[in-house]
Amino acid sequence: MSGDNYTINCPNCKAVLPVYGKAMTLAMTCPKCHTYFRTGKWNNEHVNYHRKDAPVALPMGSKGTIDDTIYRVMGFVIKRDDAYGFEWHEYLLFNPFKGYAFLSEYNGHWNFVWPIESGPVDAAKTDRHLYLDGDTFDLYQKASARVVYATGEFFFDVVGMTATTKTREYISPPYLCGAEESQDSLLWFKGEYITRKEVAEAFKVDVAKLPKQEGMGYTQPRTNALLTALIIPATIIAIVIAFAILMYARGTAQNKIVLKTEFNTKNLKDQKVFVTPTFTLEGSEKSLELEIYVPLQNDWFFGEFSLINETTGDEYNFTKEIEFYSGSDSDGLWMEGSTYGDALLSRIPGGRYHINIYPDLSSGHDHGISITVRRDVVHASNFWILFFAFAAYPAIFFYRRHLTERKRWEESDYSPYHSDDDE
Amino acid sequence: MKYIKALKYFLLYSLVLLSFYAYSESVGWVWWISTNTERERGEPGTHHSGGSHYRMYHK
Repeated sequence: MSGDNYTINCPNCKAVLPVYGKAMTLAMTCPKCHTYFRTGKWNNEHVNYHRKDAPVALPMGSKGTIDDTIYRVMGFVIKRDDAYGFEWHEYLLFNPFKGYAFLSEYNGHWNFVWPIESGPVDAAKTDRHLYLDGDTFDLYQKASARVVYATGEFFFDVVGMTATTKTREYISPPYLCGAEESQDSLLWFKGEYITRKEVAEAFKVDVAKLPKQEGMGYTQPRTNALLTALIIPATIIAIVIAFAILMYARGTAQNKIVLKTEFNTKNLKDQKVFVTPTFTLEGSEKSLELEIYVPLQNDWFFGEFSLINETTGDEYNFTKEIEFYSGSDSDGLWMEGSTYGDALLSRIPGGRYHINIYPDLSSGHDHGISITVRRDVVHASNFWILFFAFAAYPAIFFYRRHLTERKRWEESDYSPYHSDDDE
Repeated sequence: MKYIKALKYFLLYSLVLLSFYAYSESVGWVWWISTNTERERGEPGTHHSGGSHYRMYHK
């Protein structure tokens, strides 16, 4: 198809124009005066489309390869939605064996679109969903539009058809499917998302010269299915490994009582301090747990504790408050608090230690105080912190995916994320 | 592919966390405890028998 011997005169400026599509071209635009006219003698109306700096990213007549098929760029239109006024661009492509196809571009996102012989064949077609080739497509938009700019050649009256057809589009990313319907015609089409880079490579243009991407394309592919399928099992495996480490640590922990002693406040001297006997912590750094029992009754105990390493002089200072109250009222017996308290100290090195205790009680009653010290005690708190750290990964992943899907449907009147949809 | 990258990051993230967890349990390192402990460095050879010191610790 050279088009060299097939020409036509522009009805406006009378320029002699080559027609590459020959007899197939039913409408075209004069590149000199920008007049759009139908080539057949049956309609003499013509429209002037002139737009300075029209964003024609793929030159008319250029060739590109998509899905191993070489297409020629025949025409370009800018369409504007009647309801919302947004504009998108369409390129008419042609291959003498495969026929015509389109590249549709909106906000820098591209779809390769081709006509299909028939629409959905499944009986379960509904207005909001359709089923085609094993996929479920969700209604994205119903629209009517008009052409606001055209250049090149067209195999149909693109301006007239656009003005008289209503379009329905359904998506199943990265695919789309839809129909253009008029009073006397119904044309089904299918499309697939194609990246900006792929378009540039196909038509050998500089990708920087293609429209920049904004937001999300409505058919932009979803998160890789493999990743989605693996993220939860991977998280579960990680948590199971953490649990196994916890069980191993608990199984191998000494949990050894290194000190068990008692005091009574009646034995407090002027210094108001108890000093425990010296005890030895074996080995390297381990945790240390102090269990404190004070047989209180409607009273409170406050203690300042100092664990002292007799060799290095290092001190580990902490406080503990224990209170216990009980009584009875119209509802019966009640209790509040506990007579036990415990303190957990982290990474205490081995060595010889004793504990200084500075007790304080509210009343003048004498109280016994029991202290039990355990070495190498494993608690589950680290595991639970790790659990939430692991659970955060899929939680954030699925939340971001949810936000992505909401963004996809932002410009749709049929978004599943809206509480009320406009029909 | 960025999805393979995301999986690799998760594996690395898991490996680091699990290794750190195993180390923490081996040295008795509790990441968060309700007991507010202050550590004071002392001089080797001295130990406080509680005779002349009364300290205020917890703020």
